[in-house]
Amino acid sequence: MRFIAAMAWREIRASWRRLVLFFVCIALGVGAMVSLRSFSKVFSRSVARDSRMLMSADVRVGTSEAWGPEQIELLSRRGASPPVTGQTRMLETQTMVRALDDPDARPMMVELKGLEPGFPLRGEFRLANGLRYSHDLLVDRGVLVSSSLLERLHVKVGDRIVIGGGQFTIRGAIERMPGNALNFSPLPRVAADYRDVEAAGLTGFGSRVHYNWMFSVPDGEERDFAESLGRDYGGRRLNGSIGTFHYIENWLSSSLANIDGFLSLIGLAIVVLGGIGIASVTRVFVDQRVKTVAILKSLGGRNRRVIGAYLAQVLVLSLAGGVLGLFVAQAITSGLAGYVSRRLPLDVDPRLSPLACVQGVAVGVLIALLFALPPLLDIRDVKPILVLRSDIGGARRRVDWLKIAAQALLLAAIVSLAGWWAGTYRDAGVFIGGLAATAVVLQIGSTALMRALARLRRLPSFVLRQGVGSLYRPGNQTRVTLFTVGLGALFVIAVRLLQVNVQNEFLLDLSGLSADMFLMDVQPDQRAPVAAALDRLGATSVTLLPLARARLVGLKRDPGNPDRVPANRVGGEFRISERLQLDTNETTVAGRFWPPSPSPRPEISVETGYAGWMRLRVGDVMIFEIAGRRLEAAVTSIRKEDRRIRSLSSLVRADIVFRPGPLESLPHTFVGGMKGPGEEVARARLQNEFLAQFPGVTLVDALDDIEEVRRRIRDISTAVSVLGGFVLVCGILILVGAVAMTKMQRLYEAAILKTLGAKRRVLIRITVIEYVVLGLLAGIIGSGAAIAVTWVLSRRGDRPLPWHLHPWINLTGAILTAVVVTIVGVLATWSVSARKPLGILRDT
Amino acid sequence: MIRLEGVTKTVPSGAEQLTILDRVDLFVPAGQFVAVTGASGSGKSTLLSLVAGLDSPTSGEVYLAQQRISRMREDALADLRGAMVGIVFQAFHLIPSLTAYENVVVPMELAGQPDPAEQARALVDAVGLTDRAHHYPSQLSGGEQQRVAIARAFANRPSILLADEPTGNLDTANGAKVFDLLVRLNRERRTTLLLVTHERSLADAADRRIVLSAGRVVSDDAPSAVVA
Repeated sequence: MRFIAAMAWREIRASWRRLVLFFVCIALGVGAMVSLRSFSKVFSRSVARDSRMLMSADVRVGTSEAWGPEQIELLSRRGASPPVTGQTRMLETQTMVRALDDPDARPMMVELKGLEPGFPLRGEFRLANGLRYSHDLLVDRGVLVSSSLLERLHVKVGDRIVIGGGQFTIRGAIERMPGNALNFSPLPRVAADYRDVEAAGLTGFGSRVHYNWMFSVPDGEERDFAESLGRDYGGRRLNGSIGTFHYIENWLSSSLANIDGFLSLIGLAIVVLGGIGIASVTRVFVDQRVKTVAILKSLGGRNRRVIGAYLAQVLVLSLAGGVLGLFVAQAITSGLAGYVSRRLPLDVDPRLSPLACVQGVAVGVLIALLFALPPLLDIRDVKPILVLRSDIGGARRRVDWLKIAAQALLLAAIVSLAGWWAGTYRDAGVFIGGLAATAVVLQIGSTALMRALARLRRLPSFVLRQGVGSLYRPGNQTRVTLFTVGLGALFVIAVRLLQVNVQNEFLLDLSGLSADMFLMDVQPDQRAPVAAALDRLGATSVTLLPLARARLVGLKRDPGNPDRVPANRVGGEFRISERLQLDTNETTVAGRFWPPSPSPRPEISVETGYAGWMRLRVGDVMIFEIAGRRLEAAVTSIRKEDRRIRSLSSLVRADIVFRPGPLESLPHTFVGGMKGPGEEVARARLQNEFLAQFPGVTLVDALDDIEEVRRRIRDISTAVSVLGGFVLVCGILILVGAVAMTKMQRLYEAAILKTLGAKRRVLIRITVIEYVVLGLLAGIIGSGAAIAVTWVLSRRGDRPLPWHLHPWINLTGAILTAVVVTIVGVLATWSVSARKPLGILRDT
Repeated sequence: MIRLEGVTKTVPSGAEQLTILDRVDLFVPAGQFVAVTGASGSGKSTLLSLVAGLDSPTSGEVYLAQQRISRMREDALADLRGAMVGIVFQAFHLIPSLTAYENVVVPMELAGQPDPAEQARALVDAVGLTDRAHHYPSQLSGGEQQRVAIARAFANRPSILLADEPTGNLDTANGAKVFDLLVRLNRERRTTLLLVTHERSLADAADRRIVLSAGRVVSDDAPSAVVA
């Protein structure tokens, strides 16, 4: 043991500079793994601690209908008696807000909350500039708004804004507002008095208001209280959802558990890449240490002890890499925690989870050892006679069972780790399969390109011949560098391709849409004046569709449909609409959509998702209750809707569509679509003037909506690109490490070329050519693989993503890869061309 | 101490087999200083590598201290070398990543000696390199490197010392110093020394001279009783 420890330490001292980069790869992988795994744990912990604040209460009763007398009586009574210690009400809706005094400022969609005194029951309402929240700030039509709204509407504290039919004075800027629950919506927040919101005409029939009645109770009594409220509701057949803050906690925990495995696998992929780098460098390292190994054996060193010394070296360096990875993890976790804290009313503690730290470092060390073992086993083939006769090579075994066992162990470990990280072996299988398939694609690509390139070695240009020939230098690790850099390029280029494809679809949709502005909450008596006003203000192609709410109370199966579903699926409230024809993003998958004429006999078309949930078939009859009246409607078609396309039907969000006729006599509102003016100022004026005339109507500019979608895609793309960047950095580090490993040979060759008359400029040109070619090869391979990978990904699932070739992305990706590789390669070998030849030749 | 019985070593050379040693019989008793001379390619170094267990004979047997080493497994040979054989090479073969002191201490660590540091320091002192103990091989002259190699060869108090052209890479003055050191330590520690050299002056210092030619022993001035 003493020899192993001492020898490992001496070897590290001698060669750590050349090996360190490979273990930085391990650090990056461990950093990614630990941070992603830690973050899910600390986030869950923060949610568990602050979930009351997310709800701003302990128990909440929610409904999409205005409070009825029976509910008010029940909830007021329960709120005034033990165990309740406090109660308050809040209503939430999305609506348009505009600046009162600036007709050119575009109105904004906001998340509006109407608050009563007593809010928040839990948590702290933080305002900017040290202002303390009090309900007094909201009285007499005062509002508190997000800072982002102030910027976008060009208003400041003290200015007035218009919400619905009311004018409000801004009294302060919101920093953090409790009660957003799981709403990650980036819309600006606006808080107003509960009664002022009602008075602004935003709570009429058909409005999209959610009403909340909130209670605080002593710790531990929330579940009992919610259950007893549930019994009261059930006994009186009242509608509403009752939940405690634990619901939020559980929902977040289960959601995180789902993505936790996926994110951990990405970290594992980076560690595996680092492992591939380590295997590669170990092979070169063993080749360079053959003489030392032979000397050790001639001095009495057994195979086990010599291999043990080098394994101990890997152990120490990977342990150091793992510990370094914890610092990387801390930096990533702090960034993530800051991001979430800005989006949610949570103080996410960015501390790393000790368990995740131990697991991450252990995985990093294990992967490094397992990847290093197979090449280290080649030490057994080094014969001590090499100290006397260098012309005798090691006799390779025909079938090396120990090496095969080591490789099998490595594979088993990766599969087990992937299964453990992902939580399921199915996902782990997809991960391993994907990685293996990508590796095969990259290997085939690099082999083919290297073969094609071999012809260039016969070119008459000396510099070109030498530059390309350098790629074939023994121990140059060209393939491994191509693989790792190519994989990094693949990640980044593939993400960019997917991003552009998805974003382009929104561009295409926009140009192909019959509407780029949408209306909501139009009352039946406003239908004609709204249409007339829009016509006057320059809007075209105005379409209005009725929207009603209906309760499903029964189902009669067609005799030919044997399918049944649990009884509790029959029920609930639905948004229903009527239309004469399918929208452009819809197709019929069963039955026939009705002809374009009204019919007195109720017919319905059901969307595939809901039809599948209820196992509906054409011929089934659904029984609805609408405003106290029962209505039986036969399913005559089942249609599929492409929800990625923003159309009027997707805005309506009605799974059940009626053939025009029956809804005429039932309570309903209208939603609409239209083409607005092309110029931004004209669009803003249309919105301002329209909302001034119809304050209760919501008018959404689809351009804002689409911009928001694009922004979210950019956010996600950035997150994935950062992970791809980790892979690319790994590839670059392996490239630098590969250069360091072959430095002695490069120095020797450079010295010989110099003694033969080569100038420094020639040596630099040779190096540039070597790395330009290497970078271009990696870029071409990464680009080609990115095309294949994005195509496969876009075909997955039942709703394929759009996929188009974007050659400029591939070309730019390949060129940028070549530029980065060339810069890194030339910088790493700069000193080679600068050294005097005599000293090198004397030392060699 | 060292016994070779009908040892033949052949190596492939193109389509044919090249005989390097041809049915060599040899016995070297404990404590004897034997010089092996001969022209280049006569088989001197091959003979030494077989005695050291660095290579195995094509036929015949090699015995060290009554142990037949010609059929031993590699790890057993390593143990044997660690316990009883010290080797000095013409090209020094120091480990470049280790200091002079560390090169000397390595065989003791491999042999699992309980306190190797003190003995290693004593050996470095004995070869006159106290001030250079923490220098790397690249920072030492050829003569100094070979003195380190000699100290290393004596590290485990071997009963057999094998030296392959130990002065071959050194100038005359340094070569003489190194040889004197080797002989002095050999006499002090009473080891069996098998010296391969092509220098007549060095061979003359030995108790016994063997001449090899084309893989065969053509001259041996040992008492007839010990020549097979």
